[in-house]
Amino acid sequence: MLPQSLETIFERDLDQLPLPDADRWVPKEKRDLVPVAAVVAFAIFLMVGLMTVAGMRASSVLASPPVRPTSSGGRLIGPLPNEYRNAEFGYNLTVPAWLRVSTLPPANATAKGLLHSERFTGRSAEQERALVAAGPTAIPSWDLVIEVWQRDAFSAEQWAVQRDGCAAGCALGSTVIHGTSAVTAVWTESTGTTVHAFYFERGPNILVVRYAVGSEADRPQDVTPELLDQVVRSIGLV
Amino acid sequence: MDRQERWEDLYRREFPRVYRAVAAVLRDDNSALDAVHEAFAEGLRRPPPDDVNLAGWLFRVAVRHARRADRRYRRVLAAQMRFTVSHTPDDFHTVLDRIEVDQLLRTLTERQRGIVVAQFYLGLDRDAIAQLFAIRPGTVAATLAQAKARMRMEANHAPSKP
Repeated sequence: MLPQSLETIFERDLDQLPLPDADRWVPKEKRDLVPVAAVVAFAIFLMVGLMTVAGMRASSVLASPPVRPTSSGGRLIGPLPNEYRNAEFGYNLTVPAWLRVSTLPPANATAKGLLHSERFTGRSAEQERALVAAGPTAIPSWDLVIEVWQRDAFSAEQWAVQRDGCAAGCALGSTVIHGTSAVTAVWTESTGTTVHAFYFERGPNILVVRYAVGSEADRPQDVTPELLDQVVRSIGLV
Repeated sequence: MDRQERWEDLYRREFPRVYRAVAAVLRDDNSALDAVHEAFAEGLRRPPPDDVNLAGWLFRVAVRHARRADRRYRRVLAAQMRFTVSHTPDDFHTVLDRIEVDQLLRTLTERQRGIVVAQFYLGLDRDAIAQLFAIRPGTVAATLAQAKARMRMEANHAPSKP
């Protein structure tokens, strides 16, 4: 027989179950946007000022990639990352200053069900043009691609397997980024490029984030697999 | 306080109880954490109609999500694909193995566990459980009776704890 009431036993025992680390479940505090905006504005002001002093034309601020980590007096100085926000599809990212949004249209722009696509690249506009001239590439290596698709009732796993490139030899998994579950997939293409993909179910749509690790010869300066993974894991869905 | 802040506040307050309840039902900490996260996200997207019994709502949505996720994972496994999930250090399972409640719960089906935990740990009454699980109060009563009988039987046969 049970010596105590079930309520007592349940409370006594289940309250002993350890909780996950707080950083795995406590929602992040909202950032105070005013100081962040002020810091970003000041950084931009400072950058423009320094370039002007150096005799550079102001229009060169638009050159890509704009700024990179550099060394000064033996210390590594990294430019401030950019908070990138896409209000239409409800996501934001923290992107290093040396990645920019590509202005070239995606190779799959006319694909059925594709609602949105954008690519963050560490390549210069000239390097990108050369890449396109070499042939269409759905996932250019070392770039980070974000796509939003109508998912047509496909689950994230089904999407990875049936609609994306996760075929034989593909490793499926799952992760949680800032409280949102995602399916992950890693596969290697015939070219030797390894694709890392993350799938987030978003109501009737699916948000797909991919980056591809290619040959070292193609790797843009300061773009590493760790950096791209860090950008993916900065994603916030709203 | 806006809706998101209010929801986050509720989540912080209720997380420990809801997480432990879900973990007891699923008998797995990672699945429970994912499921409660998903319930929290669903609450942000589609908040419950009222503030009554929000812990119960989170619990129910989390358990439902875990079932869906479990079905999906089994499908993928059936396709013989390599599947990897990272696990945190295992003190959760050490505690789970030690506590008497798990000895009782493991004799039940997942559905029975959900209803039993909702009543005996979250303190929900039969009508609230019926509403949350979209079943009739009579079904809740019958399920609880079966579950209690099974747990008593298990308790009678189990070696006594020091």
